[in-house]
Amino acid sequence: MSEVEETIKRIQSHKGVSGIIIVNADGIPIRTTLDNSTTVQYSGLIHQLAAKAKSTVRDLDPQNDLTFLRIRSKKHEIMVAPDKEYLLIVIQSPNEV
Amino acid sequence: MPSAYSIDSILGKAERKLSAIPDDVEIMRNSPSVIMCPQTSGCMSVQSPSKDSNDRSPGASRNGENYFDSSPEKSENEEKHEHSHEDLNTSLSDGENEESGNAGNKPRKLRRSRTTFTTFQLHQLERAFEKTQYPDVFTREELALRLDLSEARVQVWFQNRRAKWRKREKTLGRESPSFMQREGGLGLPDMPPSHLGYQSPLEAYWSNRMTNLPGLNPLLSMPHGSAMLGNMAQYFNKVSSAGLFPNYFQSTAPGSSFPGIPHMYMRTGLSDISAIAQAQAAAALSSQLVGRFQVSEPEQGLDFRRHLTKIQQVTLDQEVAQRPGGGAKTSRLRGSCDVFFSNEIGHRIEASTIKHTNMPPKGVPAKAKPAPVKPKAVRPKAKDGDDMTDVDGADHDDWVNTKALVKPDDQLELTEQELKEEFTRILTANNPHAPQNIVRYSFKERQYKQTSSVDQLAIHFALDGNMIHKESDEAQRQRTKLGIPDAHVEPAVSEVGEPVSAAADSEDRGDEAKEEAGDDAGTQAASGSEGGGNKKLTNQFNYSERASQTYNNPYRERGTATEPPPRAVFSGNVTQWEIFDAYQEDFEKQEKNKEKKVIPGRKEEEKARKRLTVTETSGDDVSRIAKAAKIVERMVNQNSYDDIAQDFKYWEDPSDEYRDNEGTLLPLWRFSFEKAKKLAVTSLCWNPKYTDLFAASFGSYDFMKQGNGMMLFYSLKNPSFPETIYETDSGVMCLDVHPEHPYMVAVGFYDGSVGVYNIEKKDGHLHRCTAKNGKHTDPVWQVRWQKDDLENNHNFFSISSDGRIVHWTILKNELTYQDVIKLAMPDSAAEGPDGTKITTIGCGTAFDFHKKNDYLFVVGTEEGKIHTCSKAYSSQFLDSMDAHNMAVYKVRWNPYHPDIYITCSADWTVKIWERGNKSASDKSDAMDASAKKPLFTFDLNNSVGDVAWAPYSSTVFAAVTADGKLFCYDLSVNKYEPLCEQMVAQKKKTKLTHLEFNPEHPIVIVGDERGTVTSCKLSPNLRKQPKEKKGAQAVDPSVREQAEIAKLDKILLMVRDPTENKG
Repeated sequence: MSEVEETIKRIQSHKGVSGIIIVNADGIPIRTTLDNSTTVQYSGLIHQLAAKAKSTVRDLDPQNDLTFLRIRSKKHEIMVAPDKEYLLIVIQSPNEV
Repeated sequence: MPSAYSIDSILGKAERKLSAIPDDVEIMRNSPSVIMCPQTSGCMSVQSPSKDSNDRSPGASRNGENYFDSSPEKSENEEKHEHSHEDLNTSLSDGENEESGNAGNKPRKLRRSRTTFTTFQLHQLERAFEKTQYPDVFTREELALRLDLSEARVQVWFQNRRAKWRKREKTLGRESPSFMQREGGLGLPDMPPSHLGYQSPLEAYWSNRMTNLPGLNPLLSMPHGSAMLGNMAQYFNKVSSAGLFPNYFQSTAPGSSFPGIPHMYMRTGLSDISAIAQAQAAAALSSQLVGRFQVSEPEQGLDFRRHLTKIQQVTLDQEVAQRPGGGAKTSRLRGSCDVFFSNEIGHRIEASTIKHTNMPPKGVPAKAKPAPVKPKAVRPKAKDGDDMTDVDGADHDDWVNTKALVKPDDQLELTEQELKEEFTRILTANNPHAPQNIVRYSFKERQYKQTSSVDQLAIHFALDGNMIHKESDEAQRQRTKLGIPDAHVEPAVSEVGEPVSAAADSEDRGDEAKEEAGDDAGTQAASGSEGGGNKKLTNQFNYSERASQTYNNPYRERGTATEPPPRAVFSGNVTQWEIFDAYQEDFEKQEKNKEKKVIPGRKEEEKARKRLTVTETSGDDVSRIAKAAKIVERMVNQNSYDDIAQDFKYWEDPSDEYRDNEGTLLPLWRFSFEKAKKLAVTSLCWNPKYTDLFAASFGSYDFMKQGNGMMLFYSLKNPSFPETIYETDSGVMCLDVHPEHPYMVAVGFYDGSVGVYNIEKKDGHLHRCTAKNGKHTDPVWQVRWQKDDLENNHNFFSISSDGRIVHWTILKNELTYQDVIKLAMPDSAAEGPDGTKITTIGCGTAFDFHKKNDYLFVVGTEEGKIHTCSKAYSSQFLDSMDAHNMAVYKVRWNPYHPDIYITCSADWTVKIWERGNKSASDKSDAMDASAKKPLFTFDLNNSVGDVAWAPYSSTVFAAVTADGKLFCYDLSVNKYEPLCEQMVAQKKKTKLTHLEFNPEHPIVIVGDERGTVTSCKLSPNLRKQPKEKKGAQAVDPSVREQAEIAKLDKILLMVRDPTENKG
């Protein structure tokens, strides 16, 4: 098992983490721990949001880049870590437990 | 005569022979067949008209005299002869000129007086004209006989009458048909009395017919002597002009005209062309199936016979055999011509009555009837009288319509048996009728010689087209019958004038007739060409337009709808950063190209590397998001330990404000790793660059439980899992992170070896010493990086319980060592059992290098001694003292004060020492060096594993004990009691082994023997800064340092004073 696999596993094992989605550059989920519909919904929406966020950051300064995006909501927090080709989305509910 | 020669000139040289070789003519004259002629009985006698008709046709008589008689104008005759010779090869116009020239030479006495027609004559003529405007020669002859006129006069009268008629027609607006005009020139027998008159029509006519009617060619090409040919031609001319040929060509009896003459065997033995004419006439008759024909030969018709000067009369013996059943009629011209007709159609064919009439001189009574050659063959045609013209007209039509069988009275009545009787005829290659006895006069031998070669050619079958000439009478009749209007006018007008004028001036007839004839020919040719030019003259026959309208294919649309090419809409916004990226990419590419140019050899390597990386990355998709995963993990941890993070950042113990001399430690994250749980934390070290990152080494202090070791790198951001993990085969007893190169980590192992790790490379250690290259024999208790040496090589020191302090230098890839000092015990040489002295070696456990004096360092030993050493002196200590009773676990210089250092030991105490002053005073005192006393001594009631100065203050230090407590002192606050004594370990039994202050944050990490690292936040009381520092002004580090030193000095002074005072 690769290190990243372990990492993902660790993340999943964290309390409050309800799902991990890996989305490719086209917004297509390639790995998920959630159910299908939720995954599709998350990946489609977050992908757009992340693209917009990245665009925003880079528009402000082309040499800058988006590294992380967290969306804090009442219920949970969506953490988006954009990579070159993939988007790692983790949904966590910190208030749980 | 040139007219006759003209036509003959077309035929070839035959005529030339005729005229050029008179002996031929002579021979023909004397040929037996000719000779036989006069002997024939019952044939009609043809008088040469030359003598009798001088008054009527002077030209003819003149010519006749010239050629056939020994005229008195011999010279003229010869001259004429010569002319005719020339004319053989000259054109028509030449002949005409010749003629006109001759005519001019002729005396006017020959001029004919104008004929005055009687009323009866006119009446008869008008009647005839009503019947037909173009009477044929027989009709004309008949008329001439009846009206006591010459045939020529009748002809001219008709000519003029027609002209008049045309004129009238024209004024009435009707256009005369084209053939009429032509007929006037050609087909009509409107010849002048002289044969010269029809020379040109003959020419034109025959030049046409010869080519158009191949059926005639066999006749004309019959090789019976050149003279005969010439005569024949002339005769034909006459026949044709007499209306025979129009009949010949007609096709009124459908399908029977020429098939009616399927077999024609004609043999012309001699020059008696009239026989041929008879044959032709008979042929025409048979074709027409109307057997009423009278061939009347005018005297002009016999002009050709004037060659035969001695023959004035030709007797034709004609036998006509009629076979009504077989339909074969044979007309035999005795001695000269045999004509066989076989008529397959069982119509009655009436033998033509050939009348050879002697044109009577003026004295001949007008009523004279033609003498029949054979009474029984002669039809009672004379009765027809005026109706002679009916032959071509109504009569014919009547026959066609009624189909009445008219039998001649004298027809043989044959019985059925006779009819069925077969006549067998054997055909041989030789012509049975060919004359075998032709003789010719040979001038050479002066006697007659029989000619050996007799022509055997016979024409068995000749088929002509069933077309009729549109100008012919028959055609006209058909046309009128069908009601087709004549569509042919123009040329007629031009031609009409002349005959009219000629009619008006009939006195000049003789000469004018010649000219007219010539003109006729000229205009004929001209009109032909004009007609061709003006209107489309397809051909002269009853041409029917065969052009047909073809079907026009309807237009059809053949368009095919192709599939439209796929279209797609692209849209996109170009943002600034995208442009930036594009440029960046381009820039990188350019850089790459430059590199490639410089080192082309590396290409392959790069490729291989690329391939490798590609395969690696493609092998595991998820590995690409390692970074993202790490970030997210930290974030998740942050969320998970959000309260801790909040505490770490913001929580300040509020109770500190109320208790001045007390502080608390707030436990924060607890770093624990599953694999390291059975190992003790042997050392801790913050990363100098990343202050949230620290390294922890794991090993075992238990001699009996040695095993593998571990090295973990933790980040405060991810307390749940270490960032980097190194597992070693031996317990890691100590480590040190290079202060300037945070990725370099020096490690000391329990087995005595030292190693260097690069955190960036996870695959293992960079260097590790072995027994060969100076590893320690005992566990390495501490390693410490030094500043890079003069050659910029990384180097570090290590201390081990084997008593050696070794200086390690990394030379390229090699780890070299150098023993700095050996911890010998000078004064305590142990005695062995056998009395030998063994120099005991001090077991170094800890050392620390002076912050400012690079060479100075202090060493703590297991024996509790503290040695102050210098790198420069490897053999002796600068100072040495017994500081503790038990092993010294840690020695640390004060971060601010250069002479203060602290030690901790297993003897439960922490002691603060001052270098220099003490020793100096001690020296002066010459007192026992070991009697030196520490500035402070704190008893912690348990083995003190580690002690550390706080980085933010010169007076704060903390110590951990084996009972799991952390003691925190601030000398400036309390010199005797700790500000905080707090249980950090989770269990009481758990020994705390090490601690370390974070250089930046107010936290301290504590390691225990269970592999757990605990971070604690120092309460505000524990990290009190000098009060003046709280001001807003920026603090200069040097000022601060001085302040810290002063603060500590102040305290020390307080401490010193009592000792001095004591001392």
